[in-house]
Amino acid sequence: MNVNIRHLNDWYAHCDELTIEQAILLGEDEITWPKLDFVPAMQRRRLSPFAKMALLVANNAVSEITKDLPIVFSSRHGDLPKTSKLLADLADKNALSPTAFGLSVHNAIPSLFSILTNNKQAINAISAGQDSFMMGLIDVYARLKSGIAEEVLFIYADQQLPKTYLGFQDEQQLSHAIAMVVSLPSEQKLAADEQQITFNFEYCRQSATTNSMPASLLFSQWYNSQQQETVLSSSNYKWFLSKHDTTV
Amino acid sequence: MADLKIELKQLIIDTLDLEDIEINDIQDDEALFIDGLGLDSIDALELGLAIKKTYNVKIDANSEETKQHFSSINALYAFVKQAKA
Repeated sequence: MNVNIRHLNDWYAHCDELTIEQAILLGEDEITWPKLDFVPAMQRRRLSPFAKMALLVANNAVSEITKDLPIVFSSRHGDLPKTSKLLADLADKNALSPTAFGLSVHNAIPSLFSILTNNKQAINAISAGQDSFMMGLIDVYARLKSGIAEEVLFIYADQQLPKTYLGFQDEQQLSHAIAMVVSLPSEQKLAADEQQITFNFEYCRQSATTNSMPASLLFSQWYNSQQQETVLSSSNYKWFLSKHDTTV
Repeated sequence: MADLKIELKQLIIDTLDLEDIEINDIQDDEALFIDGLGLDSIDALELGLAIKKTYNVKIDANSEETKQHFSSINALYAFVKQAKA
């Protein structure tokens, strides 16, 4: 599978001053979440940290694009701080906050984004365990191959697990969001911030590790590096990634 | 009983995360929804829930009367005062 990726934008906790590795080690006690100046105040007040980081990268990714793009959104856990609070309220037999409930669905983020940008294109929302990022990219590829769209906005976001769920963690935790514009390779020359990549996978059942970085962060690191190839492993798949050298 | 009005304004600000708005910014006779403060239908649900919880009053979700009760701080004040009496 070959795709062109451009306008890749990422955000992670402490991204202003730390590398991804440093940020993972530091933890997330004091975080300055994105301000989101482009969102009107009356709408911004309802946005959770999860929504803020996802909407920030999405907006950055399409900042130079005037036409509406279809969106694939992927997240392993969605807005888990929000949903776990709702579950706790349910368990305590408290009434649920209508606002929190309304924004807790998995497609809330791309839906908010489409409302904010008046985008009427289709939205898919994906979750696939440790493979959520790469399966999201597969869905983007399927959408492009179907011929329905020439470009797709791909948004990925995951927040650090809430304390209640930290006992189940099977990879390193860092609140982060990534967005990019994806298209199929064409005759056209690549744009300045565009790269063509190939990705393939094989089914490969392996025992879970708890100390690896989420695939989304590894992908972003690889994309922004000089490294030509990489392999991402989950407990079910191996993903083989390589960049095309098009600077002929 | 001016205190209850201030209490209601603070409840609105806290419940609906109106970060940039202070108690003095909300007029007693100003419309809370659409015009005036500019709240929307989700705010109505959220505020209804908060009023129910805080003052232990019953609110009929679909009646015209309820709409009236939520029209301004003055109306909300009258409603809560009467319901608590």
